[in-house]
Amino acid sequence: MTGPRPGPVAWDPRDVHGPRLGDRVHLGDTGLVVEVSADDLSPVLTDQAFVVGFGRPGRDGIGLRAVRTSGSCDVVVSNVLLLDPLLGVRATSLGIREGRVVAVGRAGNPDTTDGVDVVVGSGTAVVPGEGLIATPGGVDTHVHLLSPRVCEAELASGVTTVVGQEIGAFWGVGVGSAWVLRTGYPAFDAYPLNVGLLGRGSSSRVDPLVEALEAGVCGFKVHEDTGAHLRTLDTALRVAEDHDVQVALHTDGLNEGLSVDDTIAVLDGRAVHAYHVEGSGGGHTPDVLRLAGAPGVLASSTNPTLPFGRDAEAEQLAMIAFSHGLRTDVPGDVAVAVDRIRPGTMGAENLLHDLGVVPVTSSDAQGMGRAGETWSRTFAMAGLLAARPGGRDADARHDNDRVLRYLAKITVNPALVHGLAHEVGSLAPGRLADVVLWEPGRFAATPRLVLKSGLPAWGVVGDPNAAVDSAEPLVLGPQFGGAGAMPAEVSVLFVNGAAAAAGTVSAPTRRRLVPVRGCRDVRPEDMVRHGVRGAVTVTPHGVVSLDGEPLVLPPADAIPLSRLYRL
Amino acid sequence: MRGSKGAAVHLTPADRERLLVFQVSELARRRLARGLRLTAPEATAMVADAVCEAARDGARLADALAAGRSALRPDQVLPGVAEVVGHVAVEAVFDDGTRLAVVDRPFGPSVGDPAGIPRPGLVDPAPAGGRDPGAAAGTEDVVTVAVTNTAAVPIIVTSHFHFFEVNPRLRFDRAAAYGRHLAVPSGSHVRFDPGGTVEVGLVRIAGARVVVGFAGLVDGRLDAPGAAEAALAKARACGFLDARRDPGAAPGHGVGNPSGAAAAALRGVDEAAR
Repeated sequence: MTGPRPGPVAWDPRDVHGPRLGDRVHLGDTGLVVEVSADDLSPVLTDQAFVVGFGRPGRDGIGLRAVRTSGSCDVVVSNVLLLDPLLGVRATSLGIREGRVVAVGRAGNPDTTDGVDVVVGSGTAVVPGEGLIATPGGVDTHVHLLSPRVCEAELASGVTTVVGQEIGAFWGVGVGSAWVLRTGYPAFDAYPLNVGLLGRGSSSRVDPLVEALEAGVCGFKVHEDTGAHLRTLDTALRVAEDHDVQVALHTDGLNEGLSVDDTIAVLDGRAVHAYHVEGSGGGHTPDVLRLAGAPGVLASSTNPTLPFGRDAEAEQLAMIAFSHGLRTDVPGDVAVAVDRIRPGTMGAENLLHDLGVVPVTSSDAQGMGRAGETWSRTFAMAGLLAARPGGRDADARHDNDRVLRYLAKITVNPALVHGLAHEVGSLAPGRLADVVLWEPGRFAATPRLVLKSGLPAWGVVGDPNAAVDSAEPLVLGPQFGGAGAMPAEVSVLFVNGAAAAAGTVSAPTRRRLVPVRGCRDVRPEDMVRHGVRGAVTVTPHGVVSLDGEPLVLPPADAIPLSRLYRL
Repeated sequence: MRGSKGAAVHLTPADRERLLVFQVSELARRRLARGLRLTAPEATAMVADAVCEAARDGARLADALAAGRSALRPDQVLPGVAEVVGHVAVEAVFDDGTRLAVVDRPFGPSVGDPAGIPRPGLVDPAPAGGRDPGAAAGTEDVVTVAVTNTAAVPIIVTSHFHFFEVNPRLRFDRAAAYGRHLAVPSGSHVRFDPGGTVEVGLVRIAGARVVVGFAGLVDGRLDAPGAAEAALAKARACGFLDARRDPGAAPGHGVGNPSGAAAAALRGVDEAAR
C-alpha cells in the first residue's frame, strides 16, 4: 500500500469510534435527532475501544483472542449506534453466533480489556459499524406476494421478515390450497427473507382453514372480497384460538352483513390484527377507524397515507379500482370506491400513530401499498409530526422517545402481533441477527447493508470490476446471503405450531420451520412504546375524535425521506 | 458462434455499469436544464460521469478529479445533498487503464435558507461535561519512556500493542514497558522515524492482563510470579534492544542483537542464549 505520508491530523475519535455518549445524530432529512443515551464503549479513549483496520487494535493478542469461535463470536458488528425498541439508543457492539445475537455490549478481548461483553476471536468476522446506525430488520406483516420482485423491494428497504398472503398473481387473499402452498414454498428459498403465509380465512366452515393449517400457514386473512361476514369472521377466530395463530382482518367495507359495531361484537375481545385501520385500504365505511380503540384489536396502517400527503386523497380512487377489480367507468363501482376515501380519517390516523394508539405500520405491498417504503414513510411521519406546532417540547434536546416509538411500529410490534417476537423485531440477545445498517444521513431511506442471521445478505453493491466495493454506480442488490443456496440457510419459515412439529412434510422448504406463538394472548396494551387506549369515534363526515378530543391534521405539501434520496 | 466474431460491442459488466451512470447523469442534465436542483442520486451520477468523460478525453487522474469536483455548483443540488454524499468513487478508463477516482466533498456545504437546511447524518458533539475522556485519562497510571529507533526504516506502533514486545530495534527501557501499551487514543499510533528519539507515555494493559502472541516473550499472564523477570531475560537473550542494558549503543553495536532477535524469539530463548 502506498500513498501520501500521513501528516499530523486532528484526531477526532468520532471518525474512528462513531458517536459516543451525549452526541446527537441527525436522522436523514427528517429533522429528528437522537442522543446517545447509553455507551458501552470504554469512557477512556486511551482504553480499549475495539476497532478493526490497518493499524487498529483489532488484531491477534490485542483486540482479538486466539480462541475458537465457540468461545468468541462468529460475527461482530463493532461500535455501532444501536436503535432498538427494547434496548434504546446505545453506542455498542453486537456479538453473533450461529445466526443469533448472543451479546450486546463492549467488544474486544477480555485478556486485555475491561468489561468485555462481546468476545472477539482471532477468527471472528467483523462488520465495522463505526459511524453507522443498526436497527432490527423491519417486519412487514401486510404483503401481497404477487410477484417475486416484491421480495427485492422489501429487502432493499430494510425489511427482513414478511407476512404474505399469496404466492403469485392470483385473485384472492390468503392461500387456501395445500397444494399451492406446498408447491410454492421453495420459491422463497431464493430470498434472504423470513416468510410467513396467511391462509384463506374467509370460510364459514372450518375445513378450508384446517387444510391451510396442515400446509403450514402461520395465520389467516379474512377479507371482505372473499367474505368478512359474521360466520366467516367467527370461524376464523375460533380456528385461530385452537391453533394459536393470528387473524388479519379487512372488514366488511360495504357494511353488507356487519357494521363496525357488529364486527366489534363478533370479535368479543378476541385478538385480531385490523389491517389498514384508517379505511381507504378497505373496511367499514366511514368508521372502521373505531377499531383502533376497540378491545383486543391490534391495529395497523398501510403506507400510502403515511404520512398524510397533499395528494393522498387524489391517488386513492385509481388505486382502489386497480387493486379490487373495479371499473372507473361504472358509476356504482366508483361510488363504493369513493366511500372509502376520507381525508379526515387519513389525518387522524397519523395523529393516532403519534399518540401511541395505533402500534403497527405495514406496506400492503402491491395491494394498495408500497413494498419498499414502510421504513421511509414511518419515519417521514415521525419527522412531520415532530415538526408541527406543539409537536415537541420547546426545550427538547432529542427525539429519542418518538424515534423509538416509531421504530417499534415496524419491528417489535408487528412481530408481537403475529407471534414472531421470539425470533425477530429486536436485537436483544437470543433473537435472529437480522440487522439493518444505515448511514445516519440516509436513515430509513436506503440501507447500507442488511445482515440476515448475521451474514451480509443484501445491500449497497458497486461496479463489480472495481478495486473497491463502493465504486459507482452503487445499487441495492444481493450480497452473498442473497446468492446461491444461502438465502434459505439464513431465513426461516414461520408456520403454526402443529406444522412446525410435523416438519417439512407440511411445508417442503430448506428453511428452518419456526412456530409462531402467543398470537392469542397478545393485547393492544402489550404493544411496545404504545398501548395508549381510548374511545375512537368517527362522524359520518369522517371527523375523528379520541375520547372526545377531535383529531385534525392537514395534509403535508412535502415529506422527508423522499425527494432528496430518489431518482 | 463464428458469426458473432468481431460483430459485437462485447460490453463487460463494468461497461454496463458505466451506462447506468450515463443514463442517470443524462436524466440529471435534463432536469438541471429545467432549472431544478438535483437529488443525491442525480448529483452523484453527474460527478461520476464528469470523471469518466475527462478520462475518455485523455485527462490524467488529477485532472479528472478536478472535473468531477467542478461538475456541479453547491446551488445546483438540493439542500442535504452535500451532507448525504460525502464523496463519489468511480472507476474510469484512462489512457493507462482503469483507475479509481474518489472525489471528496464534491458539493461543498449546503446552500439555502439556513433554517430550512436539513442536516442528514450530522453529529452534534456532546456538550462539555457530558463526556470528558480527558478527566479519566488524567487519573491513569502513565509511565514515560524515551524510545530510539535504531533501524533504517520507520517503525509505527499502534495504540494497544504490548509495548514491551515491539520491534527489537527500538531501544527503550523494556522493563518499564512491561504490561503496558501506548497512552494514545485507541486506534491511533505513534511513528518512530529512523535515528530519532521520541518520548511516549505508556499505560497498563487492562482486562485479565493476559498477553498472548506478539513476540512470544510473555505468552501468558502478565502478573504471574516470575513472569516479568522471565520475559525480560528472554527479551535480552533474544537481542531486543533495551536502554538499561544497551545505553547509547549505536545501531548494531549494543549488547543486543536486534537483527537476529525475531528469529531467536521464534526458535526459543534457549537456543538464542547459546
